[in-house]
Parts: sequence; structure tokens; C-alpha cells
Amino acid sequence: MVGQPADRCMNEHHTSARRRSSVRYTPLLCESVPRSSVVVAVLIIDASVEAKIKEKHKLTPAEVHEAVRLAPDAQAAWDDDPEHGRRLVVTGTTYMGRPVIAYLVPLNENDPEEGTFKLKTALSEPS
Amino acid sequence: MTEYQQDDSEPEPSWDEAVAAFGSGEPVDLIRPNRKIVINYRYEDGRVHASSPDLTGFEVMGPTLYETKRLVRIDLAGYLDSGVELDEREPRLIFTDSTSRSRVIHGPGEQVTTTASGRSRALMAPARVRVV
Repeated sequence: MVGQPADRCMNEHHTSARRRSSVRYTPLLCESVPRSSVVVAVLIIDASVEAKIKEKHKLTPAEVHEAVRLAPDAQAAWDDDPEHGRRLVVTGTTYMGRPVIAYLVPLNENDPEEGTFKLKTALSEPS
Repeated sequence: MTEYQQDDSEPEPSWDEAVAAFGSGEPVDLIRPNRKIVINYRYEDGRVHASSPDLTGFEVMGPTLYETKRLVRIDLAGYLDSGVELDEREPRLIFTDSTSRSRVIHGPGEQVTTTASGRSRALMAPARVRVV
């Protein structure tokens, strides 16, 4: 984990880079607040999760990779659930402009710098 | 009964719940190393098409390879994060049946035979040879 100052406030409107717009995320984090970083180098999507996101949210693994790994507007936050543990919540948009939120579970909790995550689920904004 | 299995007992969150989870979480800077996407170019109907297995819905075409590459870069500049590399794969030159492959066979005396394996044929008729 590397401590870095936040580069901007995050309570702005989240606007997709391409064809759709306006998802409002609410976290407020202002300048000079130090925060850590997380490496997402590998994202594993197993067959059962792939089937689930296709059926429930009409999302493909490629679209999740786009939103999490390629999008310039991707943002992440650790969510500590008392029941289900720690997971990384990542927001981003697909190439076609669909806003996506993905829940990632670290596969190497002892070394977060290694950067291997497993997709737990992913959702797209309801139209 | 769905064909997938939930990997734990946690119910699937709604969009609003997911937004709330993101909002209440501890923000972190996202570092994403080693990113590369493949861009495939192909000739089709006299134009050059570009597509990518890594980007759903990505399709660009132009009159020439040079122009298509330029259009691809313009299009991706509006989406891709600056740290993503492009692995551009240009179309390969493939011989087809319509490509002629001629061969000259020297026969006895001044006789020359030409053969061609394609639809087009090469005709060689120098002044002092007889074409068969």
C-alpha cells in the first residue's frame, strides 16, 4: 500500500467518457487527504460468475474488463462487510458507455500489491 | 433454477446498493499495470476495417490502412486510459486463385511454352520464338 494524496474531490458528477452520461456517486474526499492505492493487475472471472452477470445484468466479461481495467474514469473503494468480508468496489464505463460497478475479491490478501482479484459480481446501471 | 451457482450466501446487490457501497467505502487510487488491447485490421469490400476482441462494439473503417489507423487512434483517445498499449495487427498478404503464377518452359529448338496457374495469363512472344 502506498500512501498518496487524493488528487481531487470525488463528489462531482461521474460522466461517462463516451455515449451515456450522468451517474452520481456520492463519496466526498477532498484534497490533501492521504489515501492508499491498490494494484489490479489480473481480474479472474470464473464461469459461474460469467453466467450470472450475463443473465442478471446482460454484462459480458469483456465489458467488465473494459470498465475495470481500461476505462480512464475507473475509481475504486474498499468495502468492509462484517458478514462477507473485504472487497474492492470499482466503478467505470464500458467502451459503449455503460456505467458498471464491479465487486472484486482479493485473492492475495497478504500482499495486495500483487494485484490478483476475482470478480464476485458486476452490475450495469438500469436504463 | 439458474445454471450458475452463487459462490456465497450474499444476495445480489441492487444498483443503488452498489453505489452506496462504493460511496461509503474507503477510496483508494487504482493502479492498473500491463494493459494492452489487440486491434485487428482486415480488408473487406475495398475498405480497411478495424475491430478488437477487447472492446465490445468497437468497429472502425477507412479507405486505407493508414487512414483507418488514424481513425482508430482518434476514436480510442476518447475512451482508453492513457496507460493502455495498442497491439495493432495488420492484415496479411494472402495469394488467392486470381493471382497468376507464370512459368516458362523451354522446349526443343526455339519452342517456348508458358503456363499459368491463375486466371490471368502471361504471354511471352519474342520475335524469334514460337509460342505453343
